[in-house]
Amino acid sequence: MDDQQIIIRLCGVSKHFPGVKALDDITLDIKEGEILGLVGENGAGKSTLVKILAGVYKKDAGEIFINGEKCVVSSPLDAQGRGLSFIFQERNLSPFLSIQENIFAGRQPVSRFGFINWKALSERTLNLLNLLKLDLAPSTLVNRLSVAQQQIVEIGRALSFNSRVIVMDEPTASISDEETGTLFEIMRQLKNGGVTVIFISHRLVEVMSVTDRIVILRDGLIVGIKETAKTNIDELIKLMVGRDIKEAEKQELIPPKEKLVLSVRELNCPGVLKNISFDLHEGEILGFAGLVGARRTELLRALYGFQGNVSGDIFINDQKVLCSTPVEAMEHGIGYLSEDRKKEGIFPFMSVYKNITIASLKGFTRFGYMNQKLEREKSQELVKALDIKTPSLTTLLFSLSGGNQQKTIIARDLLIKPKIFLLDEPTAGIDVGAKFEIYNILRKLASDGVSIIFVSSELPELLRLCHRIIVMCQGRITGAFTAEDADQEKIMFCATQFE
Amino acid sequence: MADGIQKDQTARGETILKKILYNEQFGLLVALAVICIIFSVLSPFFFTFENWANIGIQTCIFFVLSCGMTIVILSQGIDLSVASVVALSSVFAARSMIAFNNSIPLAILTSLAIGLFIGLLNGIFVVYAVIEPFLVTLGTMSIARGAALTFAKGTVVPVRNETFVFLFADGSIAKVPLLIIYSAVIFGVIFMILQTTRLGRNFYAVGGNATAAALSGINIKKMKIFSYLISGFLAGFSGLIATGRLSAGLPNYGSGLELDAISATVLGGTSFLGGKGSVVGTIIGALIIAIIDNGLTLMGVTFYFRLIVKGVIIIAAMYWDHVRQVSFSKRF
Repeated sequence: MDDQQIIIRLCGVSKHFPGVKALDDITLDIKEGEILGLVGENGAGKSTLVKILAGVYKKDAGEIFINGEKCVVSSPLDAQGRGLSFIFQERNLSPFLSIQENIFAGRQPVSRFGFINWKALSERTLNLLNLLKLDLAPSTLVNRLSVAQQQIVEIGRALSFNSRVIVMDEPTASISDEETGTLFEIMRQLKNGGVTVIFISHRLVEVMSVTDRIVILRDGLIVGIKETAKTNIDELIKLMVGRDIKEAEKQELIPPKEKLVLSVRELNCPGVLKNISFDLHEGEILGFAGLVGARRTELLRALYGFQGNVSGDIFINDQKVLCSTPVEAMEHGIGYLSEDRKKEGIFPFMSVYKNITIASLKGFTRFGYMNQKLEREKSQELVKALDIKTPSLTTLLFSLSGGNQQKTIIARDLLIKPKIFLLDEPTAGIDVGAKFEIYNILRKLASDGVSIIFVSSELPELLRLCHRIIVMCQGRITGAFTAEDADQEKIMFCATQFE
Repeated sequence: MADGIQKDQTARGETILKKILYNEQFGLLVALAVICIIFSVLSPFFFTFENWANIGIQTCIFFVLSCGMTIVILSQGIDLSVASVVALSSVFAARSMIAFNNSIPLAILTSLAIGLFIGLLNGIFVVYAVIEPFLVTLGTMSIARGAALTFAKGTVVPVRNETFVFLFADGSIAKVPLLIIYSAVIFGVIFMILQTTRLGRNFYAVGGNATAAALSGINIKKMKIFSYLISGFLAGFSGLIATGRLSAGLPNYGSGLELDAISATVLGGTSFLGGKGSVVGTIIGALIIAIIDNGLTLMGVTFYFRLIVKGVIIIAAMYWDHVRQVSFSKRF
């Protein structure tokens, strides 16, 4: 094992983004001809690491050695030239071109006059396809292939570049078990041929079954490099979530009332949500945990009338409702804070007070005209209550900091006086100070009788704030815990229960 | 502590921002003033009542179309069909006068109805067929132009009615040309809609962030269709003025006016980004374009060269918007 050559060496690699340390002093040796697993929670730094290797990001510190040669990967083209290939979750193929045209795009064998030599192109592609045991004609259009087959075509392209390292990001996400088996066979084949495969996945069972070693990232740090044969899933999960020393003690939460404000039964959305059923009590903070892709966002949107194709029963205060538009949802007292405030929340060129009143215009309208004086009064009350730091009410929203923008949108939702408040990652991308202010706001709301559904990818946050936590995976509910029972490992276990 | 610093930074950002904002419309006014001063030096006729009355009359259609275009671009759309709609409704107004014994009310109704109809077509295709507004209105631009030529049977449709011409071309009240009054009233109405009504607020919301607007309970489909209806309506109204000025419905009228309207709008600070802009800026932008053209005419510059100058202004306006967008995305 030790006489394997080291193909990539990372020494002290770090990467900062404003306000967050994405990678912290990463030191790792990647061996030739090994299958290396890379695991970690959302935000642990996996994709940042990959993007640095791919030349998409520039590292801020540390050194990278490829094939013993110290280098800086300056661009994706450069990465390719150095023998690194990347296969991401989104297919990187041109759907309307054939397999052979995709694999050899830009490098087609040409005849003397510059015309494409189709015969040679077809032969070379056929060789690759045979190697990968993909029984398809090289002239097949890519959009006719299944996801699994497209992935294999991308592997073929990597091989045609004589790549020594192939990084695969969640390759088994949209393929069947059988196809996964075939993919793993190919990975072993690559390994035998001396190619290194880096396998990034949340599916710990699969990672355990195919890798030689596993690297565990947490909060931008490597917390473990294990030999697969000598570890197990429990240990991986423990390392992924860690015993968080900086986790503050759970604050005293006022217990929720008995009354059911929301009951969801058998909520379904084909391909998205499956048999979702749960209850929400008055004054309760109910957390939803899970990985990216668990479809928690879609669940909230379904409750808010912003998701199509939804079937099932939703009861608000024992009355059956079906909200098919946000307007109806708001009439039933539901407020919603979207996950991506830039794309779906803020009106950047509108003033702070107009951003706050935009969902409650009816109350400020008199014969079609806006009562701007009243708008400013009501907004001022909320700005004060939520401690939104802004030079004035007429400041345009884009000039406020992220945390204050978020508080402005929360103010918008509070103005409609919701009884049920749905929040999707409300503290994402916000500084610590503002985060705690938002926690306090939510706690106060709950104690005033507002029921809150809180989606978050930060387990410590959920544990600190919620009365109960429901875990989702792939659009299904896979676990439910009370505040006392819950801990990070149990939640992570449920979050990775892929079918 | 950290909050204090934040406050300073945002306060500083606000002062700089104030400067920028004020600069946009203020800067435009300054540019306008400078241009006026230059031309008044270069030509003794520039600052005469007759000249300005003339400017007002000649640019009335341009101003009216620009007001409509402001609303459309503000809502993240664009309307290339306006010039053709002016021609189409002009032809229909003329034909209506002929067919209904010079009934002016019917001519007005016909013209406005045509404008609304094309506006509705635009709105429906953009919203329900989910086609890019640029492509939809490019299509209706052709359709309307072709329809105008068809209904005018390839020639002009004359109008012989003094009242009509008075109302929509020559007329004036207390020496103020009626056309200038129409421009002012329409500007005032659009300004009021955008700045003080819920409807205007909705337009800004749909343009600024359509998804956020939908999540806030605004019917974005309705709003977008409405913006095209307004644009079409104003184009229909402009058709009456075109017929009045020429005493005929001219199917070839106004080719290229849509670009003028877009230029004025963008020059005036309404961004293709959406959600940002004001009809005040549009009017200043329109004035700048109109006055440069007028000044050059007074100086005897040929029509062809004036076209070149106009083109340069358009490119400069578009580039300026691009720079604004880039600097915005950098801060953001």
